[in-house]
Amino acid sequence: MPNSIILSVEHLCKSFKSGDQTLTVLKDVSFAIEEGSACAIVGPSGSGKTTLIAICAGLERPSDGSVVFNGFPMHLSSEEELSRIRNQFIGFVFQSFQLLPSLTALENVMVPAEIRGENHARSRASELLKQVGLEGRLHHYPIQLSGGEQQRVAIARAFMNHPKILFADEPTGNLDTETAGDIVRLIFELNATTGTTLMLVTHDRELTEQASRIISLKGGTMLSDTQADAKLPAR
Amino acid sequence: MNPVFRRWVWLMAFRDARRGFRTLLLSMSCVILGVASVVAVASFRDNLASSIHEQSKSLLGADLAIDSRQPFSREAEAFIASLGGKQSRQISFSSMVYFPESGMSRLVQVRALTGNFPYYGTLETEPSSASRNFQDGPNALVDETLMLQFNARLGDRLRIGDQDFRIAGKLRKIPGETLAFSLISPRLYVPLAHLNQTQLLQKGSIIRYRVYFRLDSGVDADQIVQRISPQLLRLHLEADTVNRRTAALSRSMENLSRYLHLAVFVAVLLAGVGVASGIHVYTKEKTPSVAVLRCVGARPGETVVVYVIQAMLIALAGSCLGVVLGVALQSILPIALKDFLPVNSVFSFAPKGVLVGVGIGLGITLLFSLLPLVSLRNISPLLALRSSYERSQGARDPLPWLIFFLIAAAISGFAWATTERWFHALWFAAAVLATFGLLAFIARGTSTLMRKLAPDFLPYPWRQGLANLHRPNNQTTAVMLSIGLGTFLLVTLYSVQGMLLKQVEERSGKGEPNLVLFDVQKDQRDGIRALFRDFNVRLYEEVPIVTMRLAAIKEKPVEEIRTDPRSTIPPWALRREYRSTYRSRLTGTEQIIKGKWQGKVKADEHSIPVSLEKGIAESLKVDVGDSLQFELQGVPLLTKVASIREVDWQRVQPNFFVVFPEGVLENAPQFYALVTRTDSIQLSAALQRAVVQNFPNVSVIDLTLVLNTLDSILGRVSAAIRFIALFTILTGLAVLASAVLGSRSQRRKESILMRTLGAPRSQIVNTVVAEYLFLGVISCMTGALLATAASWGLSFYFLGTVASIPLAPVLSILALVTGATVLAGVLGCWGIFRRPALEALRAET
Repeated sequence: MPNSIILSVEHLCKSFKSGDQTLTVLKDVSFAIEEGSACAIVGPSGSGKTTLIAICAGLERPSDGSVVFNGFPMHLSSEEELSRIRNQFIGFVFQSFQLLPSLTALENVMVPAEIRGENHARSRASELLKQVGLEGRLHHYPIQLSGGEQQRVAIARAFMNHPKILFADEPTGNLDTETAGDIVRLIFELNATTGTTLMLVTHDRELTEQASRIISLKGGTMLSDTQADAKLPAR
Repeated sequence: MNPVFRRWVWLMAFRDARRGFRTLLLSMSCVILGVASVVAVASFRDNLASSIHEQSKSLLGADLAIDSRQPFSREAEAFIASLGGKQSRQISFSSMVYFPESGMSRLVQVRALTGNFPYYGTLETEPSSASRNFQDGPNALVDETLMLQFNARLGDRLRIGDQDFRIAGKLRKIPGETLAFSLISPRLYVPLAHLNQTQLLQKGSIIRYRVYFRLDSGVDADQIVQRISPQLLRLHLEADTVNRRTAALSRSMENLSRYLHLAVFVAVLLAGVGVASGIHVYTKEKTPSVAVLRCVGARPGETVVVYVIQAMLIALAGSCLGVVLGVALQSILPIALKDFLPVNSVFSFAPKGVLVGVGIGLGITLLFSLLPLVSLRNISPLLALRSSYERSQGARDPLPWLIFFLIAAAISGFAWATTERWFHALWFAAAVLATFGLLAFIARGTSTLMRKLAPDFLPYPWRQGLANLHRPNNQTTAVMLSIGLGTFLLVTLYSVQGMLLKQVEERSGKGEPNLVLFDVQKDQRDGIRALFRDFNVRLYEEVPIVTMRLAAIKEKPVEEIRTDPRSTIPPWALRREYRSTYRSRLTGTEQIIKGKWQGKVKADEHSIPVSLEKGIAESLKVDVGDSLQFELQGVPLLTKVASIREVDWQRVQPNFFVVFPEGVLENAPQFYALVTRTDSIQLSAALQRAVVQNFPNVSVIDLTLVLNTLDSILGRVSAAIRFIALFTILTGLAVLASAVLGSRSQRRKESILMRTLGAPRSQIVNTVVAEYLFLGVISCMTGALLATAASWGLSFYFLGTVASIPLAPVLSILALVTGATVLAGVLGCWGIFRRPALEALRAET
C-alpha cells in the first residue's frame, strides 16, 4: 500500500527580477513525495535545485504554483506559520554545516527543541549526539570540530524535533570522500529508523544511488523523475 | 507569547554572549564613559546643593546683614541698635592701592571692618592668626591674587589714600565669595578704626555701609526682615539673610549644573553612537546565526530580543562600572570648578545621581542599539542556504524612523528636564540633532564622493585607503561623528574665548582712550590736567557726575511701587543711586532711537527733558513723554523722558543711564571722570603712580588691566569648560577605538588576501595609514568648519562683532586629532600585520 503524500508540488514557478530582465529559475515543476521516501534532486549548477528545496521548505515563496506540505499550503502561510512548521516538522542539513559558532555541540542540537518550548531537551540531545558518534564531543565548540563532526552535529540537530521531512542541500559537498560516505550512511540509517522523508540536493553519486527517487532538473524545468509509478498531476 | 518571556531567548542570549563578549566590550567602554560623566555631574550637583545647605550660614557669615549706600542716619542707627544681637560693621568702596616697594598701583575693593565678623565660616588667611589680629593696628589682609600680581610679601607696606598699612596676612577665602570674583575686584581688609585716616570717605564716592548681625539662637532672621520691612523702606536700607543668599546662590549653582548636564549629555549621545556602531558590526557578524535560527523555527521578533538582551546586559554592566568611575570623578569636578564655587563641596555618595546615570545609560543604550538590531527582523532564513541572497527591495521599514523619533524625543525630554523651559529644550535638541545630523550627512556624502571620484593618479595604497571609506560595513560615519564632534567642541571653545577677548582688545585700538580716572573732585581737575600735560597725554573727556535718587515714576512714589505686589520693576532700579551727567550733545557711543535729543533746557519748560538709556527705560517701564522725579540731596527734580538712547557700553568712556541737558545741574554737588590714553604700559604705570601719590582718592580703570583680567577669567572658564568637554572627547576616543577594532576581522581577511597575493607588509600598513589619515583630516576639517559657522553665528547674533578663528590653536588641534586618529587606526590593526601570511591563513580556515 503506497504511503501518503507528504509533499505535493504543483506547477511550481519562480522568477526573479534582475534590473530590466526577468530570470526564470523554476518553470512548471510538479511532483509528489511519499512519506518516508528518500528523494534526490540532481542537476547542473544553476538548474534551480536549491531554489526548489528552499520553496518546499518554506524559506522562499513561489511566483506561481502551489506547495502543500503535510496538509499545510506553504505558499499561502504567513511568516509566523512557516516558522512554526519549520520548527515542528522540518529538519535542515546544509552544505556548510551552519552551526551556531557560539554554542557547543550539545547546545546547537538543543536549539530547535528549546524554540519549541521544551525544557528538558538536554537528555534527548545527548542521546542524538551519541547516536551520531559524538558522545565525547558534547561540550566542544564548532571551531574545535572537524568538518565531518560538524556535519554530524548538524544532522543531530535536524532530527531533534522528530521532523516529518529532512531537507539537505549538498550535505557532503564540503567533505572528503571517506567522511562523505559516513555522513551518507548516517542520514539513511536515521531515515530508516525514524521514517523521516528525505529530500536531498546532491552531486554525490553514492547518495544518489541510495535514494529511492531521483528528480533531475535542467534550466529550471524537470528533466526526469525516476520513480515511474508516481503520478504527475495533470495541468 | 511575548519573546521577552520565552526561556530559550534568554538562554540563547547568555550562551551566545560568551564567545562574542570581546566585541561588545568596546561598546561597553562607551557606555561606561557616558554614564560616568552623567553620574559625576549629577552627584556633583547633589553634593553642591547639600554643601550649600550645610554651609549656608557661612555664605553670609552672619544671620542678617543690613546695607545702606549712605552713612547711617541717627534714626537708622537707633533702629539698628534696637535689633540687638552681636554686631559687626563694614564699610566698603573701590579705591586705588599703592605698593611703595614695587611702585605699582591697582584698583581694589577696600573693606574696613570692625567686630567679630564672620560669625560663621572663617576668613581664611595665611598666617591663620592674621584674620583675628589684623584689627589690632593699621594692618591689612590682602587678596592672594593681588599679592602674587605685585610680588608683595607679608610685612610690606601699602597705601590707601593718605594712610599706610602693613600687610599682615594673605587673604585666601572669604565666606560666600568665589576666587573668580577676586580676579575682577581683589579684596583688601583694613580695620575700620583706621579708615578715616585714609581721607577717602567723601561725597560722591560709591560706598556701602553694612552691619552684620549674629542673632540669638532660635531667632528667625527672615521673620525679622518681614516685620521691619516698612522701616527698611523708609530708611533706605536693604536686608540680606542666609535664606535669601542661599536661594540666590542655589539659583546660580542650579544654572551651572544645568549647563554641566547639557554639556555631558553630548558625551552620552556620542556614547550612544558608539554603542550603535559597535552593535552594528556585531549584528553583521551574527547575521548567519540569525538565518540559521530562522531556519529552525525562531520567529523574527525573537531573534531581535536575543540581541537586545545582550545589549542591555552590556548596558547594565557598563552602567555599574560607569557609576564607580563617575563617583570617583565627582571628587575631581569641584577641583576643576573651584574658582567659581562659593562653598567647599563635600564629597559624599549621592544615590539620586547614581540612579539618573544608570537610567540614562540604559535608556540611551536601548534606543541606540535598537537602530541596528531591528534590521535582524528582516533577515531571511534563505541566507543559510545561499549566502549571496539579497532581499528584494520592498516597502521601506518604518521602524528605524520611529526609533529616530524616539531618540529625538528622549533628547528633548532630557533637555526639558534639565532646563525646565520648553523653548530652551527644543533649541538644545535641535542644535544637537542638527550637529549630529550634519556630521553624519557629510560622512555619507564623503563615502559617496569617494566612490564616484576614485582618483587614478594616486598610488595604490592611497586609492585603497580612499576605497575603504565607502566599502560595505565601513565605520566612516561613526568615526567622523566622534572625531568631528570633538574637534567642533574644542575649536568652538577656543574661538569664543578669542572673540570675547578681541571684543575688548578692539576697544584699545590706536587712538581709543584706555584710561579712566574717576572720583575726581572739582578742585582736583586742574591738578590732574597739569599731570596729563607733564606726562604728555591728551585729555579726551572731562565728564561731570551728579549723584541722585529716583523718587517717583509717572507721579507714583518709589516707596509705593516697591510695596506694590503687582509691580514688575526690578527693585535694584528703584533703590539705586543714579550717577547722571549733563551735556548739550550726544557722544560717539550713543544713538537716539526714540524721541528727540534736547541738549539745553528751555526757560519755560515745566519739567526737565532727560535722555534715558534703552535698558533702564525698559526696566523702569517708561517711554518718551513719561515723567520721572529725582531727588538730589533733598531737592526734587521733575523730569520728562525726551529721548531714549542706545549706548555702546563696551567703549572705554563714561556712559550713563540718565543724561540731563545743560542749564540744570551745573551748580549741583558733583565729581568728575577724566578720560585719557597712554601708549605704553610703562607710561600708564607711571601716570597711575603719580595720580595715586598726588590724588589718593582718585581711582583709575586701566583697559590693559581689564584685558589681562578678562584673559585670566576667560582662561579659567575655558579650562573648566575644557575639562567638561573632556568627557565628550574621551567618549569620542572610545567610539574611535570601537570603530577601529570593530573592523579588525574584515581587515584581517583583507590583509591575508593581500599578503597571499604578494603585497608587502609596508603596503598594507600604508593603506591603513591612508584610510585613517583621510578620515582624520576630513573629520577634523568638518568639525572645524562647523565650529567656524557656529562662531560666526555667535559673534554676529550675540556679540555684534566679527568672528575670528585663532589659527595657531586650531591648526594644532587639527594636527593633534588627525595624528591620534592615524595612530589609533595603525595600533588597532598592528597584530594583524605582524603575523605571517600562512599562519594567518591557517587560523582563518
